[in-house]
Amino acid sequence: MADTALPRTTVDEERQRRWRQASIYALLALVTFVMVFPVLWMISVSLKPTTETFSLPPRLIPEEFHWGGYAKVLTDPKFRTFLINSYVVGLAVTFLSLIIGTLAAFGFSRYRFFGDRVAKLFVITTQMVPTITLLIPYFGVIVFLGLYDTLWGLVLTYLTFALPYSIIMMNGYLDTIPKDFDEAATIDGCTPLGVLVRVLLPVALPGIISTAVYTFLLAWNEFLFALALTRSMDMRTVPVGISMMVGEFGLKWDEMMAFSVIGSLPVLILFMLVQRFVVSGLAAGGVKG
Amino acid sequence: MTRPFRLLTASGTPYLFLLPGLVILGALLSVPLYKVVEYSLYDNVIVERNPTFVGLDNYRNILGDPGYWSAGFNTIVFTVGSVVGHMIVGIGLALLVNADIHPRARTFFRSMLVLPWIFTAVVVALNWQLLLNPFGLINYILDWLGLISEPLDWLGNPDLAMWSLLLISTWRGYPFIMVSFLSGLQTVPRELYEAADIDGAGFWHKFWHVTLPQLKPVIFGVALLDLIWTFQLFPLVWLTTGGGPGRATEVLSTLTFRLAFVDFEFAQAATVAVSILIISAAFTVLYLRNEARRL
Amino acid sequence: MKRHLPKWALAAATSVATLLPASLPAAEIEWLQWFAAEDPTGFYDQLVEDFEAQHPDITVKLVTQPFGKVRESIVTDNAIGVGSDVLGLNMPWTTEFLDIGILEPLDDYLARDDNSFATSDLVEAPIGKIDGKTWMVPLNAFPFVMHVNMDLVKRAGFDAPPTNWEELSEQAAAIAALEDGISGLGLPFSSQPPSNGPILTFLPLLYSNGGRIMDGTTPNFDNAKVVETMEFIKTLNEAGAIAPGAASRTGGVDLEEFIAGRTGFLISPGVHSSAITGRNPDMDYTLVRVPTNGTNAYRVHGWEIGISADSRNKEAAWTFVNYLLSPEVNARVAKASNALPGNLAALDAVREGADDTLIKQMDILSGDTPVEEMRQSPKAVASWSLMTEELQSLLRGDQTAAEAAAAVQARWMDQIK
Repeated sequence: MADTALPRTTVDEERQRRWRQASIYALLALVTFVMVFPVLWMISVSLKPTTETFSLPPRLIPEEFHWGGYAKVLTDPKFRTFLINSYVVGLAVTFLSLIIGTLAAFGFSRYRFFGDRVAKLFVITTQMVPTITLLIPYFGVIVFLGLYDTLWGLVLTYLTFALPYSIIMMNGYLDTIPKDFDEAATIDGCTPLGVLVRVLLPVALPGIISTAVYTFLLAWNEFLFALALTRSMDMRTVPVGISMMVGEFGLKWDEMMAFSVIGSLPVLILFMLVQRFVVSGLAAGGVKG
Repeated sequence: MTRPFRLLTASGTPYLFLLPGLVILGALLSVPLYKVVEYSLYDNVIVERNPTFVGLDNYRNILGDPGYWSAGFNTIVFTVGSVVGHMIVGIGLALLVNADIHPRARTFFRSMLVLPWIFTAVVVALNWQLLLNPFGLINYILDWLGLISEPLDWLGNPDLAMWSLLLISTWRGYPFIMVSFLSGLQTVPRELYEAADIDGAGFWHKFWHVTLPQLKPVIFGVALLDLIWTFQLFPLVWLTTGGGPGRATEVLSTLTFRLAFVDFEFAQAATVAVSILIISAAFTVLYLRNEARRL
Repeated sequence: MKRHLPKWALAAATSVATLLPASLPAAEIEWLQWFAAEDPTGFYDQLVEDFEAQHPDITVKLVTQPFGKVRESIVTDNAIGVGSDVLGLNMPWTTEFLDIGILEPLDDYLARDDNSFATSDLVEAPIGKIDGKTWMVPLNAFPFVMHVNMDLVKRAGFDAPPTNWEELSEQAAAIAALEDGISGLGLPFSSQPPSNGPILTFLPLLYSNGGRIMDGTTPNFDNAKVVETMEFIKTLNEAGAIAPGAASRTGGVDLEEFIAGRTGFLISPGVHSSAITGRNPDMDYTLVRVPTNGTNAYRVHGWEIGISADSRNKEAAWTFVNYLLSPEVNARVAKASNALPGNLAALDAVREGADDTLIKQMDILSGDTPVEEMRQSPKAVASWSLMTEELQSLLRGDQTAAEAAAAVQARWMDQIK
């Protein structure tokens, strides 16, 4: 309905539009190259024998491609374990934190109630103490719950890290949706949960995606707790595996970068898949006048 | 249904929605949070099995230590610099990748631009150390471009180290803002832009008068969280510079870690942590006030 | 028949059965270490398997942590009461861990006469008494040496590696003058954790100058030998012999630049020789004792083993430690880690088939004076961070050697106050 209302474009405007498109592409390409440059260097390091990484002059494109790092990482079964653990934990945390976080965000966004600000303050407060000082007492709680050295322990831990974010951000996204939506649906006979699921969530889909991305990456990148709360090789995650390559007597640069690159590829693909949903959600939700 | 019962459920509804989240956070974090505050009132916690209660002595110690104040100053520089960097780069790039371009190109650019976020901090730190080495690629390129006459020690020179750290932190942190803001952009009703178009508004006008006001809740939420996190960001700083050279990049979080795990002064570390908590809580109360006024 | 037995008889039979040694519940002990992370071949899994074959009543679980986190893990685990039984240790952690009460004194175990080794054969430094007790035993030992790139030495016009400070400064400056990007010597004085550059390079030079930084368990950093050694590195730096960027240079980068042929000399543990010859086989490489200024003394480092004071299976833990120290097993460990054995009775076994660089290290080990002071130091880790900061400032020219020495001493004393 919006498209049909577009005014007729003149030739001049069309040329201007093309020129603008071209400049956007050029700008995007340039900026992306600059931002991705450090990652290119990472890939470069993963493809060079370490001696070449430290030779002068530094070269982005290896003199001779060296696949040793990748071969080592792909053939050693323990790296596969690290990857699987990281993905299992990351996906579980994402799933749980979206559900629990969205429910709470809905409560904060759509209701005024006694203690709402205190509750919100508590949620944010849990993020305010440097996690490193929480480590030892938190470790005690996990041992007490019998979750030490289990993936569940990690899932719960990252859930507590991610929930405040999910709640605050989903709250923000829900706040951007006009209240008329709810009212229209309530008049149609929807329960509050029905309003959330059928009306608000489709509109807030982009927000859900970005919250999911955030939550997954939080679990994916976390190191300190992953190290302290597990001790069997079977329970370790990618960041712990990577830190094992930083030894007392040297660092396996090629393997470390190769493992980082390989581990990140599925994350990248996952992101490519979900980001397609980060397009105008209002259109999808249907705007009622 | 009787009338009182209906009233009860109506007022109980929001609590039911909050329940699972609050239960999990409360069950897992309230004891540790309480413990940290308790530690700060004792001497030699963890090291001694029976630490002695010292009241506010640790606070007196910490507040009287010039190292605390210089770390506090660095933290402000680092936090403000990083958050501003994240916001400018993140929002700028979100607008850019939200442009009306081919969907495949959009997927490609969005995914590439999110890359700095998907590597664990150790790798990010080590990679930047290589790049910023006196004989690393960045000095090499700057030299080739004729911008510098001799290699700079980006991470080892006390005058440059904080700037380098801000560069790394901006690089590392902008994708979060970009992704969050990009999602927010999609919820802005298209009619508002169309109305602005009809008024003949330009890009900046639309950005200031339509986009930003519409996204206020998202921007405020993101900014608050980014501020709180950056305020206590630890792994990236510790692994990249270790607070050095000297203490040129020592921030409150690295000071906390140093006190806890280098010096084994856990009580002092808890004290610094509580000071971080108090400052962050002040931010948050301001934020919640502001939010209440908006709604 | 069983059916006719009264209940009490059954109960008695069961309880007697549990008392019999044959049905003792198997002890499971944990071995927290970083050694398995340093070894790509699975050697330690094999070692544990062999032990379990010999001792069917004990199972050993390898808990492998990255090196940079072991010290923190031990303290954290201990605080929560989930500490491992057998601990991989570094000597500098000794005094700190004693203060927390993490370690079990080993004197009673060492005094037993059924041990697989003689205490007198063990490398001396780690077993030296602190607070009147022995706290750890050496699994292996790494003397600090100087690795030499002979290609660069020869290009700079010399035909033998330096043996004393004078030759070192002359050769290092000449090598640095060869071309841009090549330096004589690296000083890894980055604050990045573990921020331990001074104990890797500065202390070995100090010991070869006959200096010390500890007086028993009290820091004694502000002395003439320390100042003289600081002045030496400052002069080297001013002569352009030191790789630029010392204040951001990590131990890892220091090693890699040497392997890539960009520094003439590398002061580090002898164990690096295998990485050097393995990764850059074309280099004309040798290793020598750290050039002296009158004294043949070396800093000794190694992988140590201790038992946790909270362990519930101390007997089993000792059985395992005893196994690790027996000459045969200890020789295997030394070979696998390209180090010298902690039990010197294993030296001959290690010497067999050893390469030239290892044999040179054995000569250093047997001829020169070993020094390890950090183990006596309270707050060892904090103290070397302080040294790093003050040495950075020295090399930047912000303070003199005397001022740097005084500053370290003052800050260190403040730390332990």
